Amino acid sequence: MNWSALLPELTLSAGVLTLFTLELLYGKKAFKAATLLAALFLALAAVSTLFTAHPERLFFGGFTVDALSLAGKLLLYALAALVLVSSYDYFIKRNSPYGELPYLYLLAVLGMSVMLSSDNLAVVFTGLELSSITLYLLAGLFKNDYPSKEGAFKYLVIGTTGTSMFALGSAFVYAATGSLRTVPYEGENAFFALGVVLILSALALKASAVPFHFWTPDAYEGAPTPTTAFMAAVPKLALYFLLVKLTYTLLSSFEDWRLFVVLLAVASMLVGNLAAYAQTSLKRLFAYSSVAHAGYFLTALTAVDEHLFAALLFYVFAYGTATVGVFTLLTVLEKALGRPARLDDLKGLYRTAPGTALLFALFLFAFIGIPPLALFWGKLGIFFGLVKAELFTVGVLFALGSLLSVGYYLRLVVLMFLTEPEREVKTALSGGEAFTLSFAALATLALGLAPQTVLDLLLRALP
Amino acid sequence: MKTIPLEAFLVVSMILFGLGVVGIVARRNLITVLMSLELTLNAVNIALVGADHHLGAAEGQIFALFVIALAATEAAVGLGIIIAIFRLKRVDSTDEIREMRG
Repeated sequence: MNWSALLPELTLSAGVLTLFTLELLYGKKAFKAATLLAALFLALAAVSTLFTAHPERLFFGGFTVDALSLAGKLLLYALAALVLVSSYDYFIKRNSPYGELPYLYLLAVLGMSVMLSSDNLAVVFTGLELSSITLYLLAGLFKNDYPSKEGAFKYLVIGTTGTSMFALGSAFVYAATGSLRTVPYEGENAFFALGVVLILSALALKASAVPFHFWTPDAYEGAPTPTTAFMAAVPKLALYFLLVKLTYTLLSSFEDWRLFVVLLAVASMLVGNLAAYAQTSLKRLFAYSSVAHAGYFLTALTAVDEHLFAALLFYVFAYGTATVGVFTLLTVLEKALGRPARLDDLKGLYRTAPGTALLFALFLFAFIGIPPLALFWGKLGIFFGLVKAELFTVGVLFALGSLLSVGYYLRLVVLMFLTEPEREVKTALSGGEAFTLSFAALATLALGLAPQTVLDLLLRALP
Repeated sequence: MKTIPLEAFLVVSMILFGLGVVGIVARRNLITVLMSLELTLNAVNIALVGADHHLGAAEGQIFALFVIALAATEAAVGLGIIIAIFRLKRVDSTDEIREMRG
């Protein structure tokens, strides 16, 4: 067995054990150092993907390492490290620097990593659960903070329903095909179809697509803001790599999969975008924005085409970077205000905190998809991919859905730049937050000017 | 001896799963919601073991062991959160944990 194929996972596991021991020895005192050490382990794991042997099948075929899963892991670790670097100051200011936080984040990433590199449904299930259960814990971690617990409980109940949907779907697929491996299936079988629909619904639930999105706003609002940044960006990336892999095999073996995905996507775009207009809490607004984005992303799963998939994965990564940026800004605002930021708090932000306002506007324009920012290429790639696959209607629905979102992003920009401030907001950045913000902003700009760097990586990795 | 057809196992597991989902939606007590979740996960085990019985394989039973272990973890985390909610608010019903809206 070739152990070097497991390098990234071994690095992360070593990180978890090291941080666990450090927590026992030093507790809360070393919180900042431990968080940065966790980010360092993620960076090491990201570097190790470059030296990982592939393609390789380990553990009796239960664990597969191929170019696509390695590309996914590289982007996943980078994004997770970005969140971790920014997180420590918020927890210290909220007087809750729990030593568990750094290694729980690493465990969640380890679970997603396992989920990416298997074509065995049982192993995918285990990875999915390792990351989900850790996320429930992270969402409910604040002691004596009721909203955190309420959000975590709703997340747990709905998330576990999704988990059992995934397992039941796997059981049906197993009963129909006789194998837990995700391979294309030729025959016609009602149980196979039901299994695929259940698996797809479960993953749509984890990706917060309508009608399975009810947990999203509550879990996002209740969780500590850096954790919300993590939940909104990192698992999404892993999920869409998994969904792309499943579209090649399982999903496209079920002939009506396209109709089902389009229904989920259209519903998500409509509900997410319309509900976002009614929000007063910024965290909830971006929660609904992520529901709408789940809709955009799902439209790209309607055809098996490598250019379409490359555009989708690029889009998810660019979205993840911008989301980490936005939630870091919300963290900064929350520290300045002493409570979660509301829409009104943005009034006249340009006068009182021009740097924060400008960065915020950059990320909002990225979400709208203004060229030359990174997300524009994702939107364009998906649209042309859909047209090329002769799914013109889906492409038009995708474009209309994106247009629907322009209003509430622009309203935030108008509030920041064109209204009078109601109160003085003094924002202060910690070193980690400054790093994450500048990195996210630079990545959004650089990937917009040179999208081919990541797109080529993805295109070469896709089978 | 007549063997039980595969469809019987799968239909039973579907019915149990449906009952679990109804319990999650309709029940008000937080602990009962958690029990309904366990019911849905155990429905999956019946389907997995039934499929193994039909195929004469063991993969499904191994998967079922995974599911059992994860169900236990899930219950532990869920109970922890319920206890924390009860400590903070002295409530144990889903009607009363509705502070967040919108």
